[in-house]
Amino acid sequence: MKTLFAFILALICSTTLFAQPSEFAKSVDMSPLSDNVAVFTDGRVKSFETFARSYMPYIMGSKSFEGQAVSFTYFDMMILPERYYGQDIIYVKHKGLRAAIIGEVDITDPQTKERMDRFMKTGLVSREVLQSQTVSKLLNSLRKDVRRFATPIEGISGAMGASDPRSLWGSLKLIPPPSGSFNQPWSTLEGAEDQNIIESWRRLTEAWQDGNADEVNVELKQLAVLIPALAKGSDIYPSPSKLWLESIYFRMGNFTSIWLVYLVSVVLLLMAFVYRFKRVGNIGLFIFTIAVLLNTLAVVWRWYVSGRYPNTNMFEAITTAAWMGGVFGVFMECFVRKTAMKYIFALGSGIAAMVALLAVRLYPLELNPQVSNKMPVLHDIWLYIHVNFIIFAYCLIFVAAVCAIIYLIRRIVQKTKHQNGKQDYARAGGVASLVEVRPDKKGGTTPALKSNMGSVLDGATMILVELSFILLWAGIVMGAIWADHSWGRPWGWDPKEVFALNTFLIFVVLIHARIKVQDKGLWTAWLALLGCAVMLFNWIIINFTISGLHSYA
Amino acid sequence: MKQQSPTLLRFPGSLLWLLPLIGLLLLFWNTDTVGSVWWYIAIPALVACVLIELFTTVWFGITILVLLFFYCSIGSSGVPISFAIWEPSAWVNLREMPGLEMTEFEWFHWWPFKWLVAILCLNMSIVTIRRIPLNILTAGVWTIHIGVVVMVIGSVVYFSQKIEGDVLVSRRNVVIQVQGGDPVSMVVTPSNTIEINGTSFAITDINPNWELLSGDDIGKKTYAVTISVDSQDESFMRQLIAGYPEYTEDIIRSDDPDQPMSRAKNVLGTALVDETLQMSLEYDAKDTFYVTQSGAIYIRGLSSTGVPETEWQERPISKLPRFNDYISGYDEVRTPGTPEAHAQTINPLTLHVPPQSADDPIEGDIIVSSYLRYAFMDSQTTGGGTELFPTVWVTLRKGNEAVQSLEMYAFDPQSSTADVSLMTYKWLTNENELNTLKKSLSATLFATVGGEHIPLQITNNPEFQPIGDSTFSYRIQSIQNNLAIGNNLVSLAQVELKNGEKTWVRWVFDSPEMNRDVVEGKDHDGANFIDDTITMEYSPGSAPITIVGGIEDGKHLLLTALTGDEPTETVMEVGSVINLTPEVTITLDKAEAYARTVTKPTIVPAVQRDPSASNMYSMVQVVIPSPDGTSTVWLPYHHYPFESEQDAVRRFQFKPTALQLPNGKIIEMMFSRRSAKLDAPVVLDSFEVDSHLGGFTGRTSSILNWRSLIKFLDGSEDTIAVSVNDPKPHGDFWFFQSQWDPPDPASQGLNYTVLGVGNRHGIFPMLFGCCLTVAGMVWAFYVKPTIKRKRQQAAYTEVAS
Repeated sequence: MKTLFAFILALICSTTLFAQPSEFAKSVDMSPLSDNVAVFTDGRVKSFETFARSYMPYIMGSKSFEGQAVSFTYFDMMILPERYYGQDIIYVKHKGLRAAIIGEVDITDPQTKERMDRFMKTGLVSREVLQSQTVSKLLNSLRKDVRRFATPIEGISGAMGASDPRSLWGSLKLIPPPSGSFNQPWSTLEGAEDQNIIESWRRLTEAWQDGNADEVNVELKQLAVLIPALAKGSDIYPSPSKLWLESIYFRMGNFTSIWLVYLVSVVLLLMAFVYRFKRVGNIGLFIFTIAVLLNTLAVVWRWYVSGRYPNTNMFEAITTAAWMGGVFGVFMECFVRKTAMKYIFALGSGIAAMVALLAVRLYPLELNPQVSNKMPVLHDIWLYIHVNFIIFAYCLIFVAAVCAIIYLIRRIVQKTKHQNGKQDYARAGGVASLVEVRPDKKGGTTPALKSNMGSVLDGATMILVELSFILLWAGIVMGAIWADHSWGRPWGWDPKEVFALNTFLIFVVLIHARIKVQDKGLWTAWLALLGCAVMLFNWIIINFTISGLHSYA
Repeated sequence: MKQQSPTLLRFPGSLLWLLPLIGLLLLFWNTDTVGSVWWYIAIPALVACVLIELFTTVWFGITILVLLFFYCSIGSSGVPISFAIWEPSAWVNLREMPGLEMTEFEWFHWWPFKWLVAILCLNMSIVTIRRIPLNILTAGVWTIHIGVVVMVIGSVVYFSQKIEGDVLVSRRNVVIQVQGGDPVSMVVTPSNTIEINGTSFAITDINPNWELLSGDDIGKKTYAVTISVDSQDESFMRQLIAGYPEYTEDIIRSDDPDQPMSRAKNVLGTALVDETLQMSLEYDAKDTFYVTQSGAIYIRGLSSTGVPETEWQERPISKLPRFNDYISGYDEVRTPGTPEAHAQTINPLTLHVPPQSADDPIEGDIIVSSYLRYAFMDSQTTGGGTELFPTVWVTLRKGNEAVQSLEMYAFDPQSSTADVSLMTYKWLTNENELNTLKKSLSATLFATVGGEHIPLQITNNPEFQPIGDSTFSYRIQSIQNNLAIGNNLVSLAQVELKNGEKTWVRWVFDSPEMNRDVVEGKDHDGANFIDDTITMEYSPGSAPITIVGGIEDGKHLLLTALTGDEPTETVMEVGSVINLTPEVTITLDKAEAYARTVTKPTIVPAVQRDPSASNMYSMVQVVIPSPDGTSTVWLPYHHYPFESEQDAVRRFQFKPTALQLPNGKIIEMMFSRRSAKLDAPVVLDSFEVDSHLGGFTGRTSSILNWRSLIKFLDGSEDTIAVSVNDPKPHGDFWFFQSQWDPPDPASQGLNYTVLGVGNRHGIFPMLFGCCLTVAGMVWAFYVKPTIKRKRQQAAYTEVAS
């Protein structure tokens, strides 16, 4: 419990809390520029804040330099590159590569050893270490191992290149085309013709080099007014409110902290479900609803700042799946509020959403939250239909697995108490257990589902399995329809297609095995869990390790 | 009472089905139709009848589903060989292993998969018919199962007829017709050239978005190509505009320094310099496409002058491996790693490739004997030659670390891997030559003034040094040895001369006739001396490190002149380490007097292979048997079998292999893909790119859409737009946007498109089956309980009352 608490605390408190930025860094207020000036990058314009947050991870991963704001570090690295000489600013993601690099460094000096130990933990190392003869030689030789090391070493080269002040300058395309034309390229400040901007920039760089924060702040405010004014009268420049909202969205960590709200609701709902604490359950449901509303706000916010429905990359697919799970949980709780299944859907959805949001928070490099343009092939209505069916199905499969795990835990507990839980299952099936009726003692009818926890959990699992079964199949069919008119063939045996089919096969086995086996609840739970594992395998290993045509999703 | 099944549908009566089963098996076997569609319809059905009891159980179906799950998994992701499953290297794909060599399509088209699907369908059908009574409550299950069967039938139609490939269509060809000659064409691609009757035609500029500046279509953008025409008599450029032949005009050199190129119309009064030379832009019509993951050998005969005598004659290769290396002997290739690695790769092929046409220049089968997935042709020098070609291999080391390994040729120093100005290999035949070499080892500079031949010291002293007792003095500006000028190597001392107050620079070459004084602002052509009372000679000497061989058999000498002192001479033994400086050593690794160059494939180690390269670096070895002898040749993979260099577009290689057969016939061969005919020739009228804000940045993320505007030459004039997510049908095939020609520093791109081509029979049965299945699921899970609830409520109410 202590470990869990420490883990949660560590997640809440980012590393920046412990790092100490310089006085100058503390005094410079980048927000006027960050929130009001747009930067062009690959067919999109972003607020400078967002741009810096998308650029700096190429250099430093998800780490910050001495607790500085990312936008500050961008300018500082560009204007005062010498400050970063010898500093650990290049992020090496691959742990095997870190160890190999350390093996080439002379660590007899205790200070170097300490630094290398830190490198092993954080992944941050200086350019100078990477450029040393022995390490360069190592990297050149490992680069030939295309499958294992070529990509991480390219990442290192990319980080070194990106940290070059010339790259930082060349990427900072702040100046819109004078014609205001949609198809004309944007330029760096070198392309600025407005003397006020040129002068202001000169004063800014001088003040920055002198460490004069007051003067820097004045010029940042000045540029924040002058640069957007260049696009006056054309619609290529984003509105100030959109830029501001975009900056806030990323500054708030893409609202992934909502996982904490889900966590609170999950704790309460679990207590309510297990011990039938009605008041605790109601509070849990209330907090769960708040979490879903916040999640909805995050999705809508992203929808607005990206200019499109958020489902075109892994980050968006996972966060949207979390939101879908939350909405589904609220809907189902309304539907089953007077049955024995109360709390279970909110609990399952809450855990699913919490895990999803936690995953994108913990793995910002793999699940990149940056907003980018859609691949050309994704500009199609089927993107919205097929992908949403699939991610909703995947979300339900995860929720079903949560119910199955709780069921299995209960069975283990029963076993320790020498109780037989074999008979605790939903006899009529999933939805049927709520719809179908059996006679009650008063001569009326009552839902076919029995109120013992095993039956409830099994029934909930089956409801989720049945729905995900249809959604997954329909999603696969819709994907085939899209593939047919996109790639000229409906089915190409791409790994992603095959493992979506494999996930479906597991559920086909589940439904048929349930007819034949005696211990229906146990088989259902294990197969639901297996189906979830195959689904996760498809979403994680197939996507990141085994490439295919669906590598963008 | 339970109804008894007919005798033939229960054990042991069902065994009677063995008779028709055996009969059909013999029939299929004798008619060579094992594995046909009818085989998969008839044989599993009879097997099901024989084992009817088994096929009536749900557990059997579940077992088949589990087997299908494993089959799909193994064929798709492969199997992990370590627990680090997030590492790509942890996954091994069984279907790619030797013996299988299957693509995903082939794996899921293989007989075990077909049998599993056939058995599943039969099991499902039999269980449904025999165990599930058809009523309103079971309508859902029946619908699902019928839907699956319909979908499988659609899939059988689809996959049994599936053909998929791509066609590269360029935007235009330049068709050139000189007076009295036949029209000749070359594809419009940057820097493409062709020579006709001594006149060279080269594409110098391509503008895919040329804006018309006059005429009715002013402002409209089209495709413009500029061709440079060069002959002994004339030199000009001709601009051709697609769709507007009337705007064709020539551009010529003018005398106006401000505008060196002018429109011929303005200078000569006519638009064309040479009216007899006809040039036009014509569509690049393609009537074939190339099948994905296929292999074919293309052959054609060549005349003695190297001109193709026919078009390519295609020979499809069956069962060509794709993922592993198969070689017929150790000597055929260079392989990385240890001898064990060699042993693993020895696994020869014997794939007979018969001719398909009477025009094929080779009559019998040719044999594919080796296949390499990822290799490159590499020339290396080795011993065993028949002609004298002295070669040494040396290694320079700093400490124990090899700094550089060098291969040096005595007779071809330019091709050696050493910097010939620093290190060279000489082959001498006697001691006299050695003595002469020793004397000339150091560079010398002489001046002749008033008939006196004065040696000058080569130093980097910044002060002027007197030249003998003359009034001249000199200082060295620079020494540049072994400069490549044209095909020659020259050495040069740039010497600043002074006579009284006058100073100037003289270039003193190792060939005295090239010497000249350099005057700023003037051309340096021809000898030009400011003061010809002083003449100079420069000899660069040999390289500071010179290896000498040939004087005695197997003996090599190392002559060094590194410190400016007297040259030193050391005997070099193979393997001995000689210090050049206290830190740097040289080792003679190997020496061959009769060396030869051997070109053969070098296999790229598996870890160094780019997985996205697919089979682009593959090659096959072909054996051509004939009564006069056998010829063997390696053929690298070509993505498209272009007809000629002029037909090839950039990014796709055209390197056919020519060889002379033992009977003297010259042929040309190429390894590429199998072709298939389109219903009508397709041409690319135009290619458009839509971009996001800010235009195309060089990255795909800035692209919104690609659009090929194509036409089919079937009498229709309609232009059809094929774009991403918007394929178009024509005849039996669908065409979809696949690849494009992106702009880069060398070109504005947009010169060609690659269209995916494929058929899609059976799609609608598949879709109908899928829809039935979804409808059945909804019925089974949601409608059925509602009906049951009504019935239950009615029944319980009745019981209660």
